[in-house]
Amino acid sequence: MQCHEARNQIPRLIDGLLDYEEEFAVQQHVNGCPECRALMQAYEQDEQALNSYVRQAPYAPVARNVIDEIERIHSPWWDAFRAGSYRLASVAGLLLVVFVVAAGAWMLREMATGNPATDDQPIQETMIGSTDDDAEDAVDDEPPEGTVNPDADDIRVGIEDADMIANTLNQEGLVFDVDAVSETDGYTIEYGRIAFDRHLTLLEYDIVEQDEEARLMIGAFGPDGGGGGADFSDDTLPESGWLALPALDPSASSIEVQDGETLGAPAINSHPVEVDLSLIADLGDSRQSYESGDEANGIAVCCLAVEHGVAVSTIEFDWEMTDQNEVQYVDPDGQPVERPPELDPELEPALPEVTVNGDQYPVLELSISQALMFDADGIGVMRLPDGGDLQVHYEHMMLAIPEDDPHFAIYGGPWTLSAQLEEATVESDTDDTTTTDVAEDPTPTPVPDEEIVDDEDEQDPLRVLVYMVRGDELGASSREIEYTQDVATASIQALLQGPDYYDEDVGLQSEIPAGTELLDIGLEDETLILDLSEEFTDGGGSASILMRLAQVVHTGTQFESVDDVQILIEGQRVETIGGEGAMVAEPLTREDFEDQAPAILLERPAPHETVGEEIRLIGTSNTFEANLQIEIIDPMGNQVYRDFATASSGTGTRGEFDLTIPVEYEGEGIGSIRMFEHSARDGERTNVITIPVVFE
Amino acid sequence: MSETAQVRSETRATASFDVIVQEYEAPIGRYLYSMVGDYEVSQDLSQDTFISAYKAYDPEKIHNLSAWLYRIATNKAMSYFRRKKVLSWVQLDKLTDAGRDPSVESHGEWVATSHSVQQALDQLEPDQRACLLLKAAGFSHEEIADQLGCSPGAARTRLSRARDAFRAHYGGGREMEGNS
Repeated sequence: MQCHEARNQIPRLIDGLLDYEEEFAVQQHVNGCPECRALMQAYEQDEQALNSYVRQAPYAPVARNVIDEIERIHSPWWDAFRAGSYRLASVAGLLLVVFVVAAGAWMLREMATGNPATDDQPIQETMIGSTDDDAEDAVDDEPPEGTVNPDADDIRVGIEDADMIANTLNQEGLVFDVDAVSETDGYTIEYGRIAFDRHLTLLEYDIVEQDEEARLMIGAFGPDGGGGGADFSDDTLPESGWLALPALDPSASSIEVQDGETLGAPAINSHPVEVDLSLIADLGDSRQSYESGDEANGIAVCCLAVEHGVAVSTIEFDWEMTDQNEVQYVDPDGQPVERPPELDPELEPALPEVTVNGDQYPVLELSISQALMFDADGIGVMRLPDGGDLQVHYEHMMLAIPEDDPHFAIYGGPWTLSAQLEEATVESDTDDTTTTDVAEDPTPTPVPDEEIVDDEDEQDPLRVLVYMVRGDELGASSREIEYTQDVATASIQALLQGPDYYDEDVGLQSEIPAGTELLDIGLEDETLILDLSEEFTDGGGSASILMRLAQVVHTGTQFESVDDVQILIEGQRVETIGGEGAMVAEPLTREDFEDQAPAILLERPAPHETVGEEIRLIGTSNTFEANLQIEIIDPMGNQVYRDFATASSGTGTRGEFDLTIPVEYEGEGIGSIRMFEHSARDGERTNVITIPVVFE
Repeated sequence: MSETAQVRSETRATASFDVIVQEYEAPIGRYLYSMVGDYEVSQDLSQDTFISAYKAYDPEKIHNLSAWLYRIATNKAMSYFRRKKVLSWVQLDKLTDAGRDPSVESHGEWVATSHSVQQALDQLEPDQRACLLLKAAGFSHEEIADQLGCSPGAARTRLSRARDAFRAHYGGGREMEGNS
């Protein structure tokens, strides 16, 4: 055995993958070769170091928290409520110093689309209302001046703010009467009005009577289960006021206000309310993404997005601890303090100051979507203007102090985030979806060799297909490229760069020799003319030459305006390339490479592309009677879809398919799409293609 | 099922899951720590992992509990890395040292070794890291492929690349010592 063979085999030997004879051969070589012996020892040492490391690495015990959470999520009633009131019952274990109105903006969006199933992040309760904790005289009691009651465990937006929001919404016709009374043995509640904005719902309630023992939850839900509620079972919530809830699906025409008595019981009172939220639906997507960051004292903050509602805008940002040792603990006056040894109710966070062009906008809400983790976090402010210089200034911020583990008490700051709010005509966004998201368009049209039209602000990156080789067949991959009108050039160049990290992972390679350059490109009628450097013809047998041509032709003809591809080598039209002479004198089409194409060529999603609840499968196939079997596996390993479809043609003729498949999946991360056909001969699965995709 | 019976069966389900958490919190926690190199983050991910697992837990459907939990944990870690990519303005050198458990620093000699293992791991692509760690946790190529959503062949390739990359970072220092 030669050294290079042994080197290849050593890792397999360590993994126990060699049979007896192979192992013997490697061992024999290693015994007589000091270099390979050293290599084998190095591998073994690595293995041992890793094995011992994974057994000794520090780990954070989670049982207590997890069991706490699990107990909370496993009742059906709580399931419905957890979106809105998740955190409340865990106040004993984890005091959220900061919680005001709504959940993190990103969570609200999830709720607005009526998809509580993907919610595996806790959200704290949401609350607007009078800040009076005293049960005796709470009814009709005006809160103290200002919006913050320093005695309360949490900070709540004063009733004036809720009224201000409701007034604005009322002018737009987004406030509806509930006017209902719920009575049980345990409590009596009166409901007044319910107000809707893009990011939150406000419910006016008054608990007239409540037994100490009675558990009470109040919430509002859409027909698809979106929405949320809060737990009034202990004394932490006021007896009357506005309850702020996650936004409801604006397509709903009827929602339900519900209350319930005990955990585990179904809702016992339900009041349907007819609503018309089309104004909110018409707002379309006003979300604008930013990445403006600031780092201070070991904590970094990044402004991710701003989104406008009718009365309330939200600013979504993300926290990240960058250096635990640098984190400083300061009191609300900014004075340094020791790491708080225990929960100190005096410590309260500062609300951020939000200004646009120097004008201050009152912050109505501030929330943490997940208290234990530096994660997406949002604040709400009164409707921000569509344009101007946005600044969010935090003097300091306390994220959370669990009562028994001051480890998580994090102060830091100050931070200042700046972003340029873009002028946006919110209302018009829904009408022209075709131009806003070019990246979603599977077949962007190339405009090679033409004057680039300077088009407003279409800066979204594009996704183009590049065709690689899997085994002895073509396989589609994709690349994100910077926005350009000249997509043909960009995709051919991306192709020539060869496989990327993910391609190699899924077994995609390129037959195009490294070093091949695109010398010139042009479009004549519907023929894409590619002038490639002579490296393109280097090496490989005829199979390799045909495959590299197939790669170029498929990549070039992904655009609707390209029918075929004419290859030039070093500026010259040549008859044949390669030893056995692949004909390239005439323009080539995809049909010329049917032998190189797999029976099922799934083009979108490409490997590791991100997918959501609607998965669009695009590709071509040539299967028996055009039959296609489809399976989709979610990140939890569950098969969430299994069905068959037909392409436009089959049995010898390549047909197209373009299928949109709704899936309900759990978790986020890598899942897969599998397509195959059942063999006409024995019914076995054949022509299987498996594409890993990222569920979000 | 009567309400009482339902409550009882739910209690049992919770209790049995409690046992699962107790059994796996250490290996999963260690795996996640080795993946992210950050104590706080590993705790969050670990907690997330068990909550997601609880929600999806169906004893009849899950044949290999350990592989299934590692798969969820791997997905959580990968999501974390994807999210972190958004925060490109955070300096990388700060991130690698971020949030290490200060108590670990007092373990003296062990830290010297483990630190270099973790530092070497930190240099690898997240999925290479996952490959090595899952292998070290005793999973087969087929199981690793399943957990990472790739073919067994791709898992082998990735593992072998990961091994070489790890050796380049971790073994680099060691070989120099040997030569001197």
